[in-house]
Amino acid sequence: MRIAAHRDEIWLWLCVLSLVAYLLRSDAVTAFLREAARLLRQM
Amino acid sequence: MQHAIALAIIAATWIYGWHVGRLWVRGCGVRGRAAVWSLACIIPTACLIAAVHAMGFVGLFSGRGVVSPITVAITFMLVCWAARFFVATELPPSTRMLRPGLGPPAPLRMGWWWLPVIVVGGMYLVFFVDAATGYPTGHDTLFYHLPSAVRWMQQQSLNPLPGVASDCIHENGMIVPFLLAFAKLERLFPLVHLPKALVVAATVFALARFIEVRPLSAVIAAVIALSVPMVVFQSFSGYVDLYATASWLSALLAIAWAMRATTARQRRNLILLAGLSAGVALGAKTNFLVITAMLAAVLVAEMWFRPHEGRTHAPAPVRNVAWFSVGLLVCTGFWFTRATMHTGNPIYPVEVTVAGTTLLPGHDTGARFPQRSLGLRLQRWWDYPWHEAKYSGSGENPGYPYSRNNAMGAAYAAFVPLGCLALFFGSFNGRPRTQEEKWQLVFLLIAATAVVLVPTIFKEVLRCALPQILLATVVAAVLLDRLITRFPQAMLVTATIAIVVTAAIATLKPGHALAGRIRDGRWDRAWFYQVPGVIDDLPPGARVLNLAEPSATYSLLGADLDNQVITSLEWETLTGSRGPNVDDLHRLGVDYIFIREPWPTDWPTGLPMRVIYDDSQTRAVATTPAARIYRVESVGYAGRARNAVLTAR
Repeated sequence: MRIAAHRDEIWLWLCVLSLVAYLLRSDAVTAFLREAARLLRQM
Repeated sequence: MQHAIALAIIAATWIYGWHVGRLWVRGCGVRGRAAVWSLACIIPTACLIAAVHAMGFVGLFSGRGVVSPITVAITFMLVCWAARFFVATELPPSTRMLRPGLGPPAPLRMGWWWLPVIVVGGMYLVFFVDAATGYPTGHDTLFYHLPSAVRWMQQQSLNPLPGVASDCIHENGMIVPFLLAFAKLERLFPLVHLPKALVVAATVFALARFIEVRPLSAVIAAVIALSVPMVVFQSFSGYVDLYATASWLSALLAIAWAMRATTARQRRNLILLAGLSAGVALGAKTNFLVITAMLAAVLVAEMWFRPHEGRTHAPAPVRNVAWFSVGLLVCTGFWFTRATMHTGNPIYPVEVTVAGTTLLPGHDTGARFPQRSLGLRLQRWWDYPWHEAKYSGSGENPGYPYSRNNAMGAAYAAFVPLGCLALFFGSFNGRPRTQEEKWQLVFLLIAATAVVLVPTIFKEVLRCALPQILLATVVAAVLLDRLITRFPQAMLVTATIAIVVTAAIATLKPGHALAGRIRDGRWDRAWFYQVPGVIDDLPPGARVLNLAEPSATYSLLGADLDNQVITSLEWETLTGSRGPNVDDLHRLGVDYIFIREPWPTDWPTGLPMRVIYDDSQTRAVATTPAARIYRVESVGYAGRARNAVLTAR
């Protein structure tokens, strides 16, 4: 019953965690940081 | 000049056709600006395709080149007038009444939510500037999509290369570039699919509104759809997945409204419209056979959508599918006919084999891709939105994953998979009751097919499932709606961060390319493609054999798109050999051969040709392999009619 009452809070936190998981796991983020660092070093 | 005037007439007729489409969909009871705007685009798009196909049929059966912008413009005007006449007789003004029970549209207050919209707008602006100052890009675009369009222009017909079955694929997505090629408007090629991104945004918004999502949440769903890297990259490329997806989503929207139609006539006309739009999609990409079949299944389920209340006409599933098929064939019939005549298979290159017997000859698409166990494939894909490894059907290419083929973006990963799960577990309480809930379930089921199709039939080519991927944003809009209502600030911060991350990663590539061109001060075509400038100066009609990478094909057409290029694949098909030989060079009238390092060592000696270009010692970009051009002696473009059609033995 308590979980049902807080259903939307749980979904919101899951969305935030999902974004965090993306930031930590995505190859795109890694490749972006690597490439951006390389470009900064070149400049 | 004549071609430019004809193209201007075509553009004006398109706007007129859009007006006719607006009358059509309003006459069918469709309400909502985005839905009307999106569905109204179907009429001019389908009419233009039908006009080109009509000319294509003449060329197909007569063997003559009759397609030109002026003939297309005249036919297009006639078809649009016919559509206007149809609207006037079928849907007179008296039927264009407002739907009863629909109040004024819900107000849209964006406030700080403009922030993610502006970020996505900025991302598209960077891509736009890069595309407008560059040239077409993308492997498939440069290998066969645009070269086909240019060859049609050269031969003034849509006939495939005789004897080359691989030239018989559906290409509705290349009809606009084909017309632009007559006026040499190559610089517009990268921009022709951008309007389709707008159609996608409008349709996602309209579909979300259709299932009673509030306007603000529907806008955010559309923004998330636009932020998907595959969408933004394909908006500025000749890849046809986005083109077909936009039409497919419009077809789904038309079907959804058809199920709400108050009269049988409105329902029929909306289903016809859906068929036309689905035909545009199927005529652009053969893998839409599977996804279009899902639309037909929805049409059959009319009884389920409206079992009792508010029905003034009996459900007619068979008639629904029949009208849908009529519309479908208008925009695909030409490709089916062309492929049947040249390959014996209307859906070439899809091969149909039953119990070891090949019923329809084509390519075994599975043979091109690595064979992996189902378990391994599922392991690679189950968490794809979050890790976005750079997968493609032909293998793994470590590196930057955002591209026309890959990636969904941070906003998609944050909200869409969870939105689908939330709808599945929470919203129906076991059984959908209202129309909106039923449509939510239908959208969810269609979107979920991507999970099955990508690792199996689609051979792990993610962009083949773009329709389902974008439809999932509509499904997720239900959860977004709830969360934005209850936690507006938290959602604003989360969505904005996610969109900013995606935009930053996506714009790195075009931003870098653009900055490189500004730094070098080089804006010319030859530099862009890293091909010798002499290619642009070859005499009109010069025939070039491309034995370098396949994607060099487009660049070898020259700045005026006057060269005729034979790809290595076509050469192999036409001659049965990989390398050049004297007889075939003469027979096919090859004037030049273009190759890159490593230089071939297995060519026969005594070939009648000499090197006219070699940049082994002089090339400016060391990372690009050196190029060489041979001039084939004793075979002359001078002795051949300009733009003579390449023929097999």
